[in-house]
Amino acid sequence: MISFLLQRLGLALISLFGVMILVFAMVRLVPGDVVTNLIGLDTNITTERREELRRLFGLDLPIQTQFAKWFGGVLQADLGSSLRTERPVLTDLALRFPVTLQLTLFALVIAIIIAVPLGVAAANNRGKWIDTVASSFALLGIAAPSFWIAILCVLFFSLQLRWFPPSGYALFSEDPIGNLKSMFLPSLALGLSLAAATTRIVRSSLLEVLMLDYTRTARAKGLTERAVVYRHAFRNALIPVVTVIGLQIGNLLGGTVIIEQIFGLPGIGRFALEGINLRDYPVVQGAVLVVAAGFVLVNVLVDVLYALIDPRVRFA
Amino acid sequence: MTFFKQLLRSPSILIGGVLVLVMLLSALFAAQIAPFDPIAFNTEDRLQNPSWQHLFGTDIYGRDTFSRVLHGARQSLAVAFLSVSIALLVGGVAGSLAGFYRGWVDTIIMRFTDILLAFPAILLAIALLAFAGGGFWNLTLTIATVYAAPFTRVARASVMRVREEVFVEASQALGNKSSLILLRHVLPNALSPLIIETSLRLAFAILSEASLSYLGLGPQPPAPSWGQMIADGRQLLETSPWISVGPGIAITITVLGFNLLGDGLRDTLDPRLRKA
Amino acid sequence: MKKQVGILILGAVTLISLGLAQKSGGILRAGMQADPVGLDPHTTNATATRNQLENVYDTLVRFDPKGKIIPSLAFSWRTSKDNLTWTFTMRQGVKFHNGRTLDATDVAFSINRIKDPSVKSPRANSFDQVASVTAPNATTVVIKLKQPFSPLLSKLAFSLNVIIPKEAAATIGTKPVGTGPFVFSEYIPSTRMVLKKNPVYWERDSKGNKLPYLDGITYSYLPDATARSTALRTGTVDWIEYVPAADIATIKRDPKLEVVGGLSANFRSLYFNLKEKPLDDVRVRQAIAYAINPKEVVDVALFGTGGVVAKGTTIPGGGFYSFDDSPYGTPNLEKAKALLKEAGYANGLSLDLKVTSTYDFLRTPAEVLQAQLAKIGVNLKIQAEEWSVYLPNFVGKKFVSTIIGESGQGDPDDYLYNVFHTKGGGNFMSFSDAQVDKLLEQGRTVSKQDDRKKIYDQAQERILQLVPMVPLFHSAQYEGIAGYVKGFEHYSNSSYLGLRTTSLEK
Repeated sequence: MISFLLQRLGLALISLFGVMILVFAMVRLVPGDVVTNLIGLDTNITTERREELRRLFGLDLPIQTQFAKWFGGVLQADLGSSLRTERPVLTDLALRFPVTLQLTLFALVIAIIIAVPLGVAAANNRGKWIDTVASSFALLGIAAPSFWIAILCVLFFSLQLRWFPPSGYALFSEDPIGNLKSMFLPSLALGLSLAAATTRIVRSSLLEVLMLDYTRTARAKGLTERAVVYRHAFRNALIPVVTVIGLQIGNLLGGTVIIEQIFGLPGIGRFALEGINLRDYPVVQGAVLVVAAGFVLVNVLVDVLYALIDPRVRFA
Repeated sequence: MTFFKQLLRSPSILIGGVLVLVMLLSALFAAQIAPFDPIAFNTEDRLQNPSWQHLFGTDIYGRDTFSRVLHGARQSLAVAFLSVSIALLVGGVAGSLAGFYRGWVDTIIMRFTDILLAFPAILLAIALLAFAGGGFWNLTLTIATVYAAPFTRVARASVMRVREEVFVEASQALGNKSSLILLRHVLPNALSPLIIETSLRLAFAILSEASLSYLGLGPQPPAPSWGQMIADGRQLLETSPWISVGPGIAITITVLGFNLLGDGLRDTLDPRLRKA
Repeated sequence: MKKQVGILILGAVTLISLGLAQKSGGILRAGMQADPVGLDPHTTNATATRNQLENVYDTLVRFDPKGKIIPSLAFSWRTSKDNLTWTFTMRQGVKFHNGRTLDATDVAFSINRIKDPSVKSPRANSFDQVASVTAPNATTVVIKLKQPFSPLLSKLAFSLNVIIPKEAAATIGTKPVGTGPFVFSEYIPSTRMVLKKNPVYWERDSKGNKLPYLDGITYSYLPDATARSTALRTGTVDWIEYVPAADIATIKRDPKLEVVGGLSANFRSLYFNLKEKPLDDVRVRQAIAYAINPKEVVDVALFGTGGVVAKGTTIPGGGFYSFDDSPYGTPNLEKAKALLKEAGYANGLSLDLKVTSTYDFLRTPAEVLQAQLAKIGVNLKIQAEEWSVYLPNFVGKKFVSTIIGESGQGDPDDYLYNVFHTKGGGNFMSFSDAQVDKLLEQGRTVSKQDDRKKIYDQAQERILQLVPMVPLFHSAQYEGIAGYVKGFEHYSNSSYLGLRTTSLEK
């Protein structure tokens, strides 16, 4: 098991190194640079001044030297400083990561709160109206784009009912209620498609388990249907559900970009988007690296989980 | 014949197929079906409520939203089909090679795939589009790049499974060349998962196209695109919600169609994966 | 020199009068479009940084709401006969937020810091003509110039060219310290910036009341325009910047809200690249100008409120030097078609139009122009690029036609010489006309306003004949405020110095 874990981690590190090279090269291939953006339309700036600014930012060095500098920094937990604000990227990421994490976890919780009871009810009442409702929700929830759901949520919950603020962010440490209120709509918009996907998985894996021998045995023992479902079947049906959810966390992390933009949340996605728009290389590099690291880490965990459930995987 | 009958027996395939077909027909014959010009301004008819004349009302330029949604189907479906085809081709070839030959070919291809998969997809797409600029082809190629990796994975897994089967061993024992074995025996038998993946990826591609267009990285104006229409309608959400609602419904229906088709195909083509 | 500090503090203390009724304070919650681009005012040109920090600092001189230059930290100034030496006399007893009293060496330090290449200020060139800045004593600043440069005052008044205490320079990018009416308290990126009242601020209102009235300002960041105006309407914030054009009517209708603002100092035009065929032919340019209806552009693309139709060239309407006698503005399609035919394009032509997708007000007019020009057989092919891609292309003159513009200060020279002179830095059209050049050069030397006006009228008439660009509109900028927010005045250069006299009267 240990060697399996080490092997997975090793592969993950190789992937991350690849991501670093890729993002580093990509931001530099993008036309336009931070100097152009800083200067804007000020046409009195001479070419020499432009070159001088590039030199001061270290953009005149050979690309491999720039990469070596960045990579060396990353090994010492130094992601460099924003070219525009001169703030250390790591400091800003540390401020923004909790927001994205909170959004992701809330989305996950909302998904589970909706999906588990709905999926169980659907499986228990196969073919009845509740099953139809659950299945329709599952199909439509996956099909509707999350940014569209987001703006419909704003229309309904903020503008009509005025229950939640349409955008903005409150720090949990200062205004916990305000924080929860400001996170609710974004989490709902982000979590709905996951809820839909999870409902399907819960329903189908529960149905599978309910048809298995031990469930029948449990029924034969005279246990109530409720006990059968929750105590026996559900636990076993949970395994594929957990794996699917684990895999979805990575997608959620990526999906936060548009949601953070729409709701004005100070998360990593918006940070990266601003970085791309303004050609702030260290910011884009740092943000992508952190999201990729989170994604890779979750994947390793899921792999390990698989291996724990199904020993055959370890030797594959 | 029996195969098609079997396909048609699946309600998922039937409904999904009908939805996709409706969308395809709207896209192909948008010019004939659409009651109004999707681009020309008609400033007297600005921001009209939905009516029998204008099913989804009109936008700020007085253009009929329904006609624009129909024309937008062209853009969305064309990007989706083209990008998924390219991704299928690239990923299918790479994955088959990796799964069939294993060894260093496999290592190189899969490490590269892992890197692409570890890269946050939407950021990858945004960064690529920032590099290349928006527009139809750039959008298509970007989505293709992002989706090539999952296709590689699916193709590899499928090819690896088939490769172990008896008839391949038999063919090898007969002394056939490996490329011939791959093409004649392995690939045809490894296709089902790829077909299913294609259908589901088409649904994802529609969503991705919409998201990127929403961010303004889609086709050049004034070509209507669903994502861009939702973004444009947003500032008038309260007074004229239909501008955003119409294209949103179109996206949902299209994605629903492809998803149902994918589910149905999975049930029919691959009974081992069949879910209760 | 330092010994005077104590005396100055004493002076300041005795100057503080007591007893006058104060306007009610409160904390203003302001919804902003974007984060500041760094907190060091000297190293950025970003409007967001300027607007959020200009009330933390003061400048040597400053603009009033109409754009006139008035005293600030310097209460008087004079120039030598040769216009090469400017002497400023400083206000006494002004304190930095760190408690130290401001003196002239801080002014010299601040301007020299902007000039210092290692500081990377994008405005180092603003002071290219400055040979030296010195502080002969605590209350006198002397600026020596290499050659006469009358825009010096407007450069000093630009509210990012602020005076900072020299001992805080190293940390000014994380902890702003100034002399302004508000003290920087906290900044959390993408979340908020908190400013608190400076209880010992030097300035008073016309009745002698201490400024500012507000107890503080909390800026929160709402990048999405629709979300921003929704936040104002739902009472989450008291004040927002950049009200989207689509929402102006809605906010005006709401009895509890107000919109202030309007025309600001800028122009937006359809630029032609005169090096590109067929735009090198003046008849083609005129034909396009005759076919365009700028009023429709404003009504349709800018919701009728996002801009003011351009009546003449680049100078916003209503100004002393603006020229309103343009032959264009009301479409004359017959004339346009005739001109095209004459130029050999009887069957129409196809033209590339490059726009940026980043700013709606520069993108949406493209579709209106496309529809208008289609009527004379000109097929506009729109290509939208993200700002970072667009900008280098535009500056490198890699476009056939494009929609863009610039902001001006107040002098006609800003709007005309820079844009239309053969050597003008903003002449991206490659426009070159000897007659226009001569007139614009003349305008720089003549000082009598009426004579100058005649020269600039001639120049503008000639420019309109040759149409290197079709002026479309002047962008309007609006702030949305709740009814209980009183005393906020909109500045034509879009600065928020008006927050100094704002109060909440709930």
